[in-house]
Amino acid sequence: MMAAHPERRTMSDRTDDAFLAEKLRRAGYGLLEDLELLTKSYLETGDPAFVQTCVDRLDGLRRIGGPGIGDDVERSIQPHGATAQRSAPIQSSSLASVQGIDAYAVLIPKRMVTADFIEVVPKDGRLVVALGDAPGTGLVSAFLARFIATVFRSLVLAPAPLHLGRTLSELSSLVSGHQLFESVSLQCVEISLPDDVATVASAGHPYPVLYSTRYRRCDRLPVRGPLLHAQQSRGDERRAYELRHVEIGDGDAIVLVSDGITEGGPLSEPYGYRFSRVVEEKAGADAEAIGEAILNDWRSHLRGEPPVDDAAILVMTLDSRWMRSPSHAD
Amino acid sequence: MQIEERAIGAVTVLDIKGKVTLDEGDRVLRDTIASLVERRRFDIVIDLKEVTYIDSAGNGAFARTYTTVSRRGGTVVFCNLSKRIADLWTITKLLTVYETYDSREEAVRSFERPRFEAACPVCRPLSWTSDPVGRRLLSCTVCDCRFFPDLTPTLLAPLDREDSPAAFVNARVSNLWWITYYENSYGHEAVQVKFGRPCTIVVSGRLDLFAFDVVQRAWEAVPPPRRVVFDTKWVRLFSEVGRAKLVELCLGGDGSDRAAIVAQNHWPTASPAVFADWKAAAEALGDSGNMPQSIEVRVRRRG
Repeated sequence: MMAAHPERRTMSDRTDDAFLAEKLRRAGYGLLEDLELLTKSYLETGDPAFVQTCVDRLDGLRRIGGPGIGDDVERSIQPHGATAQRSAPIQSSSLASVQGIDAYAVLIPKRMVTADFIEVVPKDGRLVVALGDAPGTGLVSAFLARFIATVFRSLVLAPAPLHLGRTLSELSSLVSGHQLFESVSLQCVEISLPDDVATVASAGHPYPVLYSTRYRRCDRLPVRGPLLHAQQSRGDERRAYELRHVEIGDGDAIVLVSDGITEGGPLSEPYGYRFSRVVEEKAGADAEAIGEAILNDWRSHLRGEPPVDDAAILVMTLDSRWMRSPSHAD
Repeated sequence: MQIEERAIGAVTVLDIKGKVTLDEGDRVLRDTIASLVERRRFDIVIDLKEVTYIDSAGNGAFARTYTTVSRRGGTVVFCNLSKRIADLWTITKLLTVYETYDSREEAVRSFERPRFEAACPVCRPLSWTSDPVGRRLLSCTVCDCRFFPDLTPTLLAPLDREDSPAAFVNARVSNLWWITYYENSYGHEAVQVKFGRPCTIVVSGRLDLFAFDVVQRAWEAVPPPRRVVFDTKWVRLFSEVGRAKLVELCLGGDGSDRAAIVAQNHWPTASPAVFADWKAAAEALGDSGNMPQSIEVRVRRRG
C-alpha cells in the first residue's frame, strides 16, 4: 500500500460535515464531485480510511439534513453523464453513449435512494457499461454504490488496454480493503460495434440478456463469477474474471438488470427473466421504449406490492449501419 | 429473521427463519456467529429450510460468516437450500465455495469425517474446490468446470490422519463438463470432454462465439499432442463465426494436434475437418494411442 498523499489527506480532513451540508443546501449537492475526488484519492493511496471518512460524513449528513436529504442525494446519484428525467420514485435517464448505441437506464430505489448503480463509459469508440448492486439499502449503500461505479470508471479509463476480467479483479482487490464493500455484485459489458462483438464479465450478477435480430429471440448469457470482495479465503482475488464474447449485430438489444428486478414479485413466483418476452415484442424499438416496457411489465408483476430491493434496468440497442454508410467510409 | 441455536455434540446447528436482509438479518447473524466464535464452537451447520428471502446484504452476511469461521480454522456448512437460494449461489459461484447438503442429518454427519478439497484439472495456477467426497460432482469456482473425481477409501487412506506425511493423492477424472441449468431458445447448453482414444468433445445447444470461449477451454484441457473429435450433433444454434472458429481450431496449429468435427445436415460447406459420423472422424485422426483415458486431479486434506 502506498503512503497517503499529504495534500489530499488535508483536503479530505477539511471537508467537514457542515461544509457538505451547506453544499447540499446551496448547490443541489455536489456529492458526485466529492466522490470522484475521494475515489481518486483511494486509488492513489489504497487507503481504506477514505471510505470510512466518507461513510461517517454521510451518517453525519443524514442527522443534519433530516429525512429530506435523500431527495438531494438521489439527484446526484445517477448514472454518469445522465440527463435527469425523474418521476419519483423512479429515475430514468438517457445516457451518454457512442454512435450507434442507444442506451437507457432506469433506477428504482426501494426507499429514498438506490444502492444499485449503473455506469456507462465510452472509450475509444466502444461502450463499456456496468450495472451493480451494493449490499443493503439507504444512504450509505447508495454512496458505496456510486463509489464502486466511480472506481470502475477510473479503471476503464486508465490508459492500459481494457480487459474487463482484469478490471473486475482489480476492482475486487481495491474494495477488499474495506468490509463495507463485502459482497458487491456487478456485471459489465464492453460493446464494440466495429468488431460486432460484445464482451461480458460478471461478479455474481443476474445474467445479461441479448435479443438477436438474426434469431429473433432473447437468450440469457450465462456468465458467472464470484462477488467482489467475497471469497478472499480461496486466494483467487487476484485472478482475472472469466470473459465471454458474444456476436452482435444491427437491431440487437442488450439488457442488464439487477436482482431487484429478477427477484421482484411474490416469493413463490419471482419475476425472473420474464422481460425477455417484452424485449422480443418490442424488437426494433429504441432503448427507452424497451426500458419503459420492461418497467411496466415488472410493475404489473408486483401487483401493487412495493419492491423487495432496489432495482435497475439498462437497455442498449445497437445500430451499426452508419459505419457502412459512404460518408463514414470516406 | 430468527435464529434458533442447538448443539448436537460439538456441532452447532443454526435454524434460520424468515428474511435474511440488511438490519433484519445481517446483524442478528453477525452477533450469533461472534458469540459462537467466542465460545469456540467452530463446527457450524446453517439450516436454511425456513428462509424465505435473501437480499444482497444477507448474501454478504453468509459470505462473512463463512470467511470469519474459516479463518479461525472452523467449518460452516449449509443445508436445505431452496431453489431460489441455490440459483442465487450458482450465479455468484458461492455454491462452489460452500459445502451444502440436502438434509440437516447429512450436514451434521459431515463433521464425523475428514474434509478434503480437490484441484480443478483445468486451472493453472491450481484452484481448489471443497468437499469432493460429499458432493462428488465438483465445480471449479474459477472456470466453472464440473468434474467427478474417482475417490475410494483406499485412495484417500494416506490422507486419513491429520498428521499424514502425504500432501495429496491423485484421483482419476474421465469427463469434464461446462453446463448451464436452464434452456435458452436453442435448448440445453453444455460442453463435455470425454477422455479416450481419441478424446471426444461434445458440444450441445449452441456453437457461436459465446460457446466457443468454452469449447476453447475444453480443448486446452486435453493434454497435447491432442487427438480430438468434436461432436456437434446436439447443437441447435450455429453461427458462421462459431463454425469458422471450430474449423480453424481443427486445421490450424503446427500439426502436432489433430482434430475433426462430427456434423450432420447443419454444416453448409464441405470441409476436410468435417465428417458425418464419429467413427469416420476418429479414423481421420490416425493413431490416438497416446491419448489418456482419464486425467488426474490432486486431492488434499483441507488445512
